[in-house]
Amino acid sequence: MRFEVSIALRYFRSGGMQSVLTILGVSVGVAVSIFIACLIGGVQEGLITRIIGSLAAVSLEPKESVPRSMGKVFSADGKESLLLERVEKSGQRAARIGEWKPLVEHLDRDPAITVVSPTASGAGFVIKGNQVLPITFRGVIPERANKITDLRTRMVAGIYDVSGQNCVVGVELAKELGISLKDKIRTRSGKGVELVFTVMGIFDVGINEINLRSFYVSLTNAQRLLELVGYINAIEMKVLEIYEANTIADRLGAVTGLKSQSWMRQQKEFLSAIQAQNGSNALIRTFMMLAVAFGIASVLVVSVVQKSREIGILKSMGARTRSIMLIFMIQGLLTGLIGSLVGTAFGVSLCWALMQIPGDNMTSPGQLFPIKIIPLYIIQAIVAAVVVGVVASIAPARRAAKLDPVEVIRYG
Amino acid sequence: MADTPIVQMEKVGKVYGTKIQTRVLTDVTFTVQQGEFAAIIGPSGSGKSTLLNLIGALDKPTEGAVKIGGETLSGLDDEGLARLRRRYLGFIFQFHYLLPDFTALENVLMPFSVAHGAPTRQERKEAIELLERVGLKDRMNNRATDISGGQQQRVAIARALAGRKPLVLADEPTGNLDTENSNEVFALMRDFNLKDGTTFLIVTHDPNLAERTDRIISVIDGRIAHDVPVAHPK
Repeated sequence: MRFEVSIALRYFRSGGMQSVLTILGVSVGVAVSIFIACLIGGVQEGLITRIIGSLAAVSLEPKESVPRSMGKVFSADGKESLLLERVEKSGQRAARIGEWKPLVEHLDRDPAITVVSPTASGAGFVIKGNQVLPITFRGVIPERANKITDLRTRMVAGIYDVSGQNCVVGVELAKELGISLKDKIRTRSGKGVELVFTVMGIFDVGINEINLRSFYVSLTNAQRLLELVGYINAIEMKVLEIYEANTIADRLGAVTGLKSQSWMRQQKEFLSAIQAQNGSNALIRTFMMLAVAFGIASVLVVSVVQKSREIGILKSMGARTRSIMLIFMIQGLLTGLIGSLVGTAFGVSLCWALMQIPGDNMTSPGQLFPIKIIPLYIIQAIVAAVVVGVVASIAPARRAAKLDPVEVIRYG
Repeated sequence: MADTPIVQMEKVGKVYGTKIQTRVLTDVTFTVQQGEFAAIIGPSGSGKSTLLNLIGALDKPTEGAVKIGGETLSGLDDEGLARLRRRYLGFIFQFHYLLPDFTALENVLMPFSVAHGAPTRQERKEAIELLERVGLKDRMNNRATDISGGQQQRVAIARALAGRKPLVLADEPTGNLDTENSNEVFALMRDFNLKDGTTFLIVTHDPNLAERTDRIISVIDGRIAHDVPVAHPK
């Protein structure tokens, strides 16, 4: 073992109470940092799942104003080209995307995109008895659509089945019209096309608007209702990194010539709330780490004074400046490392214990506190504490290295 | 190297401070040959410790040249001075200054660790032999704090000699010891000088101790007042 390490270890051990208290200080800092991060992270992840979870992160729609036909489009890597009849628009016809199948295949291969769901949506009515309610037809390919809005697990009655003449509706709509499973209901589109559907399931996605208006049918039926046979009018997507949505949307918009949307632009208020949370999270954690840094640095400064004679002796033996610095930086590193490990144990135990308290909160069902143990935050806290330990030790270490051996040996 | 004096002081002067200047040494010139056993004496504040710090490569002269083993101090940076100390110099202080968290053996091995990391088996053997010569082989695994004051100073001597250092500087090595332990420490230094040819420069207040060396350099007011050999009646 290098002698710097062995001296650092001995100092650390002989430090006794001093070492223990510093480690405790670091531990508390790390534990609080982890706890806050997991609490805010838990709330946030819950909110994101709840609100963004049922929406597409990025979507492509026809550009409504500028009619376009036949255009040559290049993919992001510039190699592949797709010749698509992209948007047609005339006086009567709705904006639409033609030749969408190659486009979907192309998007399927994009590594930044996880789910691609082509849809045909449009306005219409549900007619039951003498009640008429406005709805939005959502024509989907069930497997793909379910990965955007997980209806299958959100069915409060029946099953997620939109094959044939089947449909699923939201709880609010069902309540409004007194619909129950297996009911046959008549619908009419804005184009005047009428179809009858059997209600196979009733869902609750937690958002009123969707629960009241969304009427899920097969893509084929929606195309018939909306006079879009062979066409779609939106492609909804989920992406790997939700905060990359803007970049991805812009890229896809440029590549396809379609109008692109991103959740970050559509849900601005929600996003700024999330960002404010992230900001306060970062602020708290930064100040915790600053406190940790001052704690480590002050103890090491004391340690340098305590050990100044020994440092002088080591220098008289010809110890290098670097070695003297290393001795104290290793102590900082050790304090950060051990402190962060103990702190992780504290923090994770605290989170775990609070997660065991039964109750209900907005975002994590079954738990009183919306805490989620997020490994990334734990790793961040450990790395931060270790880095802080080393950085905090630099000033005391330099001070030790600068000691004049003559003075300390003589007047010690 | 036999021809090069181990210590050469050529018109060395030392001034401390920049605003208020204090002249501590003036025109100090002498040489010490390998194998000498000399005392540096002088009253408090005479500059003898400054002299020792210069020879010990712990400090640089303001004027003149200090050469250790033929190398001039002035041309070296801190790392160069440190290297010089590792190569040529062992120190014995009034207080032993052993590292309290380490055993006697680990303390003697410390110069090797400082020089190049983990000591080799050969170096370990050498350290144990040194401890045997200072009569502490049976205490080598005791912590530095768990042995008596005289024993600690003997460990410090062994540490100063570890690595076959050609030059050992001792600053009041017996200043803190009773007569019996003083005699023992002195005898040990003399033994290493005679058997190994180690050069010793001993700063002391104690005229009895100085009388038992081979040469007395006396410093008064920053100048060499006398530099005389000591005649030992056979």
